[in-house]
Amino acid sequence: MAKPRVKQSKIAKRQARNFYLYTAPWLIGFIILTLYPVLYSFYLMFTDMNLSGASHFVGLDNWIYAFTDDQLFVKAFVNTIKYVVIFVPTSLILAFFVALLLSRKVKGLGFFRTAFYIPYITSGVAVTILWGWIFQRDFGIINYVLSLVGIKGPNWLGDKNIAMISIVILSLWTIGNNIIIMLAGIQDIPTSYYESAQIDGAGFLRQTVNITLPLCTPTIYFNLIVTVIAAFQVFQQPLILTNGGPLNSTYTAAMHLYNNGFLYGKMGYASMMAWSMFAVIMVITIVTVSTSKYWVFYDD
Amino acid sequence: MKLKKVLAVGLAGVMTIGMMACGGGQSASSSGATSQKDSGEKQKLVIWSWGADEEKKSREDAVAAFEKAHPEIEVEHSVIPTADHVWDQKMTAALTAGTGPDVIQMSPDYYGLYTEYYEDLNPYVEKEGVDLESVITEGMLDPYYRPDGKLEGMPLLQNVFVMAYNKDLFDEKGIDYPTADWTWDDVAAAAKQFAGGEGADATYGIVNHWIDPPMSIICKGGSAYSDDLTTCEIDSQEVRDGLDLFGDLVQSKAMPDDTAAKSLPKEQLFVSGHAAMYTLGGFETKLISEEIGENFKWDAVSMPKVPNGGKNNLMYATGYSMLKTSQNKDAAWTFLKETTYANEDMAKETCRAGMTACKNIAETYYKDLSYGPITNAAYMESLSDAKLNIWGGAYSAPGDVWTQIWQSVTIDGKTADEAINEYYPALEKAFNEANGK
Amino acid sequence: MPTKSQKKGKIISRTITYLILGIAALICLFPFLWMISTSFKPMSEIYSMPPTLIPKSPTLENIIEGWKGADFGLFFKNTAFITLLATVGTVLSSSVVAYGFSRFQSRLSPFLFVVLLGTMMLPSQVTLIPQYLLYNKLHMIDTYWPLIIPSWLGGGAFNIFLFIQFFRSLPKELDEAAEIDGANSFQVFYKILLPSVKPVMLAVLVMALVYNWNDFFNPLIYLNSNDKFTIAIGLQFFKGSQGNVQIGQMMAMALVSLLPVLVIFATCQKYFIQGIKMSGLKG
Repeated sequence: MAKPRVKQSKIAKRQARNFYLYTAPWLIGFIILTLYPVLYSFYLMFTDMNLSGASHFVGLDNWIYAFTDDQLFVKAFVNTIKYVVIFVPTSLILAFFVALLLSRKVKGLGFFRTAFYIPYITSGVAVTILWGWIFQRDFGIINYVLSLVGIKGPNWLGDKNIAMISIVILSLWTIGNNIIIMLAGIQDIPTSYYESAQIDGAGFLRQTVNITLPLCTPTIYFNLIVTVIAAFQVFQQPLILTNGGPLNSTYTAAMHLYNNGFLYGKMGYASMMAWSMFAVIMVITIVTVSTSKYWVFYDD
Repeated sequence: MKLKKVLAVGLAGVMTIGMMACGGGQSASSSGATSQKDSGEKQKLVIWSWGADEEKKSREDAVAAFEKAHPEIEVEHSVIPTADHVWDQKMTAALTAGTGPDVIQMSPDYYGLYTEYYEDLNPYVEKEGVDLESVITEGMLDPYYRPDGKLEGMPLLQNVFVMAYNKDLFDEKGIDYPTADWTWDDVAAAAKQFAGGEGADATYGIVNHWIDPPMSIICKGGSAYSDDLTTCEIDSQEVRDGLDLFGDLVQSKAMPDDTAAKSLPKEQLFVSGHAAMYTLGGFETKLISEEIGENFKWDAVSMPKVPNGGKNNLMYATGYSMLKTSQNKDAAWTFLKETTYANEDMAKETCRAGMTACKNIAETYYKDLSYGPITNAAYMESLSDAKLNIWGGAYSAPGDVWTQIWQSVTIDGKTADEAINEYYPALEKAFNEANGK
Repeated sequence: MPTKSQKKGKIISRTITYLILGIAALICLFPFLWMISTSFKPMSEIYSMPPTLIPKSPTLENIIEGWKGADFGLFFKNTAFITLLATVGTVLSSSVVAYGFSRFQSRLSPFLFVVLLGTMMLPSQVTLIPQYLLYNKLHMIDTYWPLIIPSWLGGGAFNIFLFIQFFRSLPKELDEAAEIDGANSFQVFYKILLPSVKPVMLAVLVMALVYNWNDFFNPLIYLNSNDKFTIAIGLQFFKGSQGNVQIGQMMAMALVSLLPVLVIFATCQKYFIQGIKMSGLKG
């Protein structure tokens, strides 16, 4: 009876050895480049460190300040959540839908794929400036096109109720990456499933609902998690397009962190901000992961 | 400390592996920017400036002139872009780590934000035995003194504003051209007459500009805080009047209402003949006059007068500081004084980006430069009437609250009373915090 | 045998597919086309109203002036160097690490997987200063090391996670069969698993390429000497400190800097499908 157990532990040992061997590059990088900075910022969170380097232990003061005195703290989180709630579902649905159409053996697939990917490649300061111009109320291209069909376009970036939508539109424009990953997921589905469905007389819609969608859930799951995480850190688009305005309607948590850390020089407070962002993202991710067993379908 | 060492050694090990794996890696490493004494006789001086486009070229050419005059100093000059606050992040990282240069560009409107890192320049001035007031352009030196007397930088240049106007549009409406005697009420009354049109045909009296929020504070004679930077003075009738004036301009469509959007460059409304007036900065005269070209006739006058004789202009100034960590303070001081007043070739290059601190060149050379109908002399007139940028550096946080007040009035249509009553406590608190209270 | 009405339905649904894709592609391409158009317009025409897509008096001035305005030839060389090393590092190290995560277990592996995901959730600003201090201790400020090293140390949780998802979907029977044939764990990785996920490798390659090519903040923070700067920093040089933008030159240079990535993507994307067919595992 003892023999198999020895063998078992031998396998486990080999498994563990291989695990650490192959994950070593990441582990080393994590410990040096992430863990140390994270612990450092964890410590900073309880200090009032500022730019001059002066630093005192202040306990939970940063947290108390955030929830009692800093009106922007809550506002920045509310805005960010608003952005996430609008952006994440629309981007997933759009990406899946476009990928689905692309998977239908269309002619010129290369052209379409490149076309959808171009925005992802071009993102950066130049494109964001370009979009500011496209969104301009009087002379912008969107409103010019709308005016040709007799519609008076809104003040995309100047209206506090619409500015966040404009930021979302700009972000949706760059989901080419999600589309490509979705497409890879859809193309991964064995064609035999579809063949047997066709024999049963299932149309495109039923094939999509019964085969493509469920078998694509691991990819959707992946996209969901990374999109939520990235969306929570939205920063560059509002910074360049609106600088958080009008009336802070596009002021996000990452901007608040950035402003406190690098413009106001409040490093301790910025660390608290970072950790609160981390906590919120963590909670939401855990919720997502824990629901995955109900809807993510692994084909094995 | 021990942990850090272990980590460092570990990382170095990993990097050796990385180097072996990628072959061509050796060219990735090179000497750092931290100035180490050369074995040769040359003194090394590392300088960081910010700037883009014309501004960048002006800095580079000025430093080139310095190098020409000082073959004994080996200069390593970097120009770093600054728009969208990118400079702040780099500067914070470098100052915190002590890897900054010997000389770094700065702005007096940091209001002490980085002052811990700057060398006090008073001893150098004393040693030099120079009367700075006599060699530096009027009004440009004062902002570099902290309230406690520390001189934390030396001025390079500054820019103020004039009111540019489109003569053709004024003629069309039969309105008299603005004069130097106009107040902001006169500007507003004239501006309203230009409002009209929709979409691409829209016309405005005056273009909104990023100086408007601080301008609204002073345009009726108000001020943001006392001269010794200790007391917040936003909650005054003058400031409320100024805010209401701009709110009224926007509500009457004399000024565009997308005051928050950074969409179309604002000057384009003026350049394309869609707006009658524009607050033109000394830094953009060349660009704007080139863009207007022969499109229409235009000119400029001094900024509108303030009723009680208060300051009517805003000043955006920049200079250089010496970092305490500098390895080569003598060379750094040589650069500072030459960039400010003691090298006329450098001053001439600086004139391309604004009014130089070198008094002689400002008065004999900068003054006569002209772009289209505008001569720089127009900017020289308001030298003593300009208020340093109000919400820079240490005051960014109260400044951001002010932006809320400003946007409540111009975008949300609130009155100045409502907006100030709502936000003043937050602003005062942020101001006091910035002052360490 | 498809009936007539089925055939007709198929034609309609095809048409709708192309129509939707066409409109979506147009929306995606429009800003890009606008960028091209702006690049070739003289200043006087850039903001003209009504807007023109085809320049009335096309000019090369923006490209010439833009290229001269900052040292773009050098920036290209620098960016290409960093991107090449970082991209190779990302593809290699993230696939290896993902192999470890998806095929082997240790007592800590579930915990470490959560940590891996957790690193994605950290706002990058928070690690900035401590990392900077660390690289400074190692005398790596103003070198390319801080821009390359992270790629060789896992290459980012996102890429690892992506590989893991795809490795997990590959049946383990293949590994086991190879092991019985005497292959060691590394041979299993590069002979069995890697060829099966070629499309993912390409995806990671392109993403790493785009990321490193466009990365702005890391080069800005870590590089000091102007002759080490990258394209992304160069583009920022068209945006003045007082808000003025040289939009024609900026668009022209953005366009030029985009071309290499675009060409690589356009050539690579063909292999996405081929990779799947070659793997022979599916269908």
